[in-house]
Amino acid sequence: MMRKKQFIAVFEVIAMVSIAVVTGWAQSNAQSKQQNSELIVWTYDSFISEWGPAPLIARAFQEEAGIKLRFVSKGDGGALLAALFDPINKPSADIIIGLDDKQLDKALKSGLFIPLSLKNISEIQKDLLLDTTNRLVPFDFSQFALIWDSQSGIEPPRSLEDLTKPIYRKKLIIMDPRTSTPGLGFLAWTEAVYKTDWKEYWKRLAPSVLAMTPSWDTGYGLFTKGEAPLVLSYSTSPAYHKAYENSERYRALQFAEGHPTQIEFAGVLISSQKKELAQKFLDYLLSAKCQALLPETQWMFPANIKTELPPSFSIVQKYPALIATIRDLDHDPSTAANLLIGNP
Amino acid sequence: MRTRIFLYLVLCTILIFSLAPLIAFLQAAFFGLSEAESKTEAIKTFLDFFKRIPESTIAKSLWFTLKQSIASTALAIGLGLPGAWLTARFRFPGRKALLSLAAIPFCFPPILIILAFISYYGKEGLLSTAFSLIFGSRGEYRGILYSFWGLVIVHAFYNFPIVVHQISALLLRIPNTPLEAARTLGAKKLKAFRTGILPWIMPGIGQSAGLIFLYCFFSFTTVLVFGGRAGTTLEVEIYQALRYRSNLALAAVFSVIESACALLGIWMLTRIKGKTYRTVRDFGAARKLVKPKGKQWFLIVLYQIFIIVFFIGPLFSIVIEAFRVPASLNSPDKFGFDNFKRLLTGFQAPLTGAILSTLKLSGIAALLATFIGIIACFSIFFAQRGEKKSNIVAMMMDLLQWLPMAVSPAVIAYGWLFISANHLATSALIAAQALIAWPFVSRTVGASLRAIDSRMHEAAKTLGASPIKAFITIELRTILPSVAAAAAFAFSITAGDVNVPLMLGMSEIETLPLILYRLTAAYRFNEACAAGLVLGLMTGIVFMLKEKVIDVA
Repeated sequence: MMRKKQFIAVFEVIAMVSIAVVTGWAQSNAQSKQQNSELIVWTYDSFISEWGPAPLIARAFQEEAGIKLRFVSKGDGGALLAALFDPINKPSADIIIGLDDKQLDKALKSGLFIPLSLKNISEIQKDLLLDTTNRLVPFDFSQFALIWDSQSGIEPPRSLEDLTKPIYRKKLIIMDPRTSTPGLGFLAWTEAVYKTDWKEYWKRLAPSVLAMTPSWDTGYGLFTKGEAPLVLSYSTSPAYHKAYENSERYRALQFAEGHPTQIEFAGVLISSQKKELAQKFLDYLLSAKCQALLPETQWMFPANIKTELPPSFSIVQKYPALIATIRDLDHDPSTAANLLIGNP
Repeated sequence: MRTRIFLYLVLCTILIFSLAPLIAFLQAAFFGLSEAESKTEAIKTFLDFFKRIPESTIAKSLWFTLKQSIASTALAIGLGLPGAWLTARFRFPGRKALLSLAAIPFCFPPILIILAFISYYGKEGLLSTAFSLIFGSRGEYRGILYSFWGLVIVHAFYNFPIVVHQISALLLRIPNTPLEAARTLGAKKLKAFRTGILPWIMPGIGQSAGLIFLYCFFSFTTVLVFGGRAGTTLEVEIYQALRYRSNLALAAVFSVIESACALLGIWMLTRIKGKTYRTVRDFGAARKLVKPKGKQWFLIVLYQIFIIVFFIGPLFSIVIEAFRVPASLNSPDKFGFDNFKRLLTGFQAPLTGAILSTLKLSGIAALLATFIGIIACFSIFFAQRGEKKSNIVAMMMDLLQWLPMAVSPAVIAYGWLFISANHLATSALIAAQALIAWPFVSRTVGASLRAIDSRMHEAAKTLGASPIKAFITIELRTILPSVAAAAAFAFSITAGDVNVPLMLGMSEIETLPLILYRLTAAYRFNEACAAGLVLGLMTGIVFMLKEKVIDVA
C-alpha cells in the first residue's frame, strides 16, 4: 500500500519536472518571438477583465491595423501609478492606459511620457484636455456618485453628510484611497466639500463604512452580491444594470454638494521601442469608432464628442459638477485610510 | 578532517544563499540604489520614523498584528483541543479523517481557504442560504467576514487541524497513571485533569500555539482580502510600502520590527520544544483506544457535525461553485464547465499559461529547495554524528532552518531581485521561493534520517561494506521515500505561494495563485473556484503523503 503511494509520488514529481522543463523551453521560445510584433499595454484590472474594453479593443485594432496588443494588468489604479516609479523594475510597457486626473501631475513630473501628435485630439471634449503638452490624453470620463440598492429598504442619503447618520451604520462600501482611483476620487470629493475639516468628516464617516476595498472591482462585487446597500461608484454605473439585467434596481444618487469628475488618461512611454505604432494605437483609441466601445464596457462617457451614446445611457443623469483635487497626494491617502482602519 | 572542511563549505554556501538577499535588501533600503537622492531619502525616512513613533502607523499595525495572532491562536487551540481529546481516547468512524485534516494547512494555500470561506460564509454563500431557508430573512446579516473576527475565524479554522494532530499524538502517549493517582487521592474530575493531564500536554499546546502564532503573525493574503477596515498586519504594511509608495526604507523598518518579534516567538518555541521531547520520551508506549459509549457518542457526533458544517463545508463549496454558472441575461443558474471554458479560451486565456508557468517556476524552485534541503540535512546529520567540534555546524544549520519563519517573504523576494542579473523577476521568484521552502525539506528528510537505528549502519560495516556502500544501502535507501514526500511538500509550498509574486508585482507572468487572487479580488468567484480547484488538485498531492510530512512539519 505504502509502496504504491510512494511510487505515485515519485512518478508525479518526475512528470511535473519534465513538463516544467519542456514548457519552460517552449515558453522562452515563444516569448522571444512575440516581443517583436506586439504592443504592450499596462493598465488596471477591470480594463482587461472579460467584460472590460480590452478584449474588444484588441480585436478591433488587430483587424484595423494588423497589430497585436498585449494587455498587462498592474492590479488597481494605485499600483499602476506606483509601477511607473518602481526603482527596480523599470517600466517595460509601450503604453499606459488608465491614470486619472488626480494622478496626472505626479505622472507627468516623472518625465516618462512623450508628447503625442494625434489627429483625433480635435474631436475630444475640450475641458478634458488637462495636459496641454498632450503627453497624457483623456479617453473617457464620468462623475463619481454613490449607487444605492433600491430593494434594500433603506432611505437613500442626499448628501455626503447624510452618510454619517446612524441609520447607515455598516451600510457603505468605499475604496481604499491608497490603492484605487475611485477611492482617491472620494477623498478629493471630501476635501473639496469639507476643506481643512475633511479628517473630521472621515472620522464621522467611519462607523458607516462596512468595507474599504483595495479596488473598485472588489467593492462593486461586494455591493452586487448584496453585502451592503451603498457603494462608491460612478453616475454611469446604473447603465450597466440597465443593459445587462434590464433593471433599474441600482440607482445613482444626486448629492447636494455636487459631484467631482474622473477623467482617465493614456500615454506612450519614453522607453518604448515602438513609439510610432504606440501613437497609432492611441490615435485609434481616441477615434469615434473605438470610443463607441467604451460606454458599455468601461461604463464611462466617451471623451470623443462625435461618439453616440448607447440606449442604456438614457437613464444616466449629469449632475452639477464640483472641482475636486487632492491637496497632498503623498500623504493624504494614507492619512484618510488610517482614519478608517481599526476604528470600526 | 576532510568531512569537516566539507561541512564548513556546505554551511557557508547555505549561509550565503540564505543571508545574501537580506543583506542586499537592507543595503538597498538604507544606502540607496547608488543614487544620492534616494540615499538622503532613506536617512530622512529613518529619522522621520523615530521622530514620529507615537503617531506613526507602526505601533498601530504592530498592535493589530499581535492582537489578531493571539486571538486566532487561542481560537484555533479551542477548536482543536476537543478533537485532540476525542481522537486520542476513542475509536470511532472518521477518526483517521479528522487527524489527516492536518494536511490541509500544509497543502492548500491560504488564498484557496479564503476563497472557500467567502463562497461559503458570504452573504450569498451556501451557509447563509441554508440559514435563510431555515430562519427566513437574511436581513440581520452583518458581514462578519470583513471584520476583525472574520479574519480570526479564517485563521483559526485554517490552523486548528495542527492542534488536533499534534496534541492527539501527545495525549496518546500519556499514561492513565497520574490521572488515576489523582482520582484515588480524592481529586474531583476537573482537578484530576488539572493535575494529571494538563501539565503533560502544556508544552505540546505551547508548541502548537507558537507555530500557529507565527503563521498568523506573518499572515498576508488573508489580511489583504479581509483586513480592509479591521486593520493591517506588518506584512501588509511592508507590501504597501513596497508596491504603492516605492519606499524601501519604510519597508525595511517594518520588516526589522517584524523579524525581531518573530525571533522572540521562535526563541520561546524552541525552548518549549525541548520540553515536549522530554515528556514524550518519558513514556513511550501509546495508550489503547476505547469504544465510546452513550454520552461520548453524542460528543463525538456533535464535534464531527461542527467540523463538517463549518470547515469541510467551505472546502466542499469550492467544488460546487467551480461548476456553478451564475445566472446571466439569457440563461438561469446552471451547472457545467463554462467557468473552466472561459478561463481556457477567454480573452488572453489565463489558465493554460498560468498552469504552465506555475509548474515551471514552482517546479524549478521546488527542485532547488529539495537539493539544498537534502544537503543541509545531511550536513546536520554528519555534524551531529561526528566529533564534538563540528557541532557548531549543526547548530548554525538548525538556526538557519528557522529563517523563513522569521523573515518577511517580501524582504527575501526583493533582496533576490536586487541580486539577480538585470533585476529579473522570474529568477528572484524562484530563488525566494526555494529559500522559503528548503527548511521544510531538510526537516522532513532529517527526521527520517534520525529515525534510522545507527546499529544498522554498523552492522552493514561489520558485514564488510565500505562506509560509502553502507551509507548508500542503509541511509540513502531508507530516506528515499521521505525525499519524495519532501519534494512534493516543497512543490505545494511554492506552487501555492501568492506572497512572493504579489510582492514582486510581476504582471507579465501569471501563476495560478495570482490568478486566484485577482479573480477573488474582482469578485468573479465561480471562475476563481474553477482555478482554485485546479490549484487544489496540484498542491493536494501532498495529501497522499500526509503522515510523513506533517509529523515533522
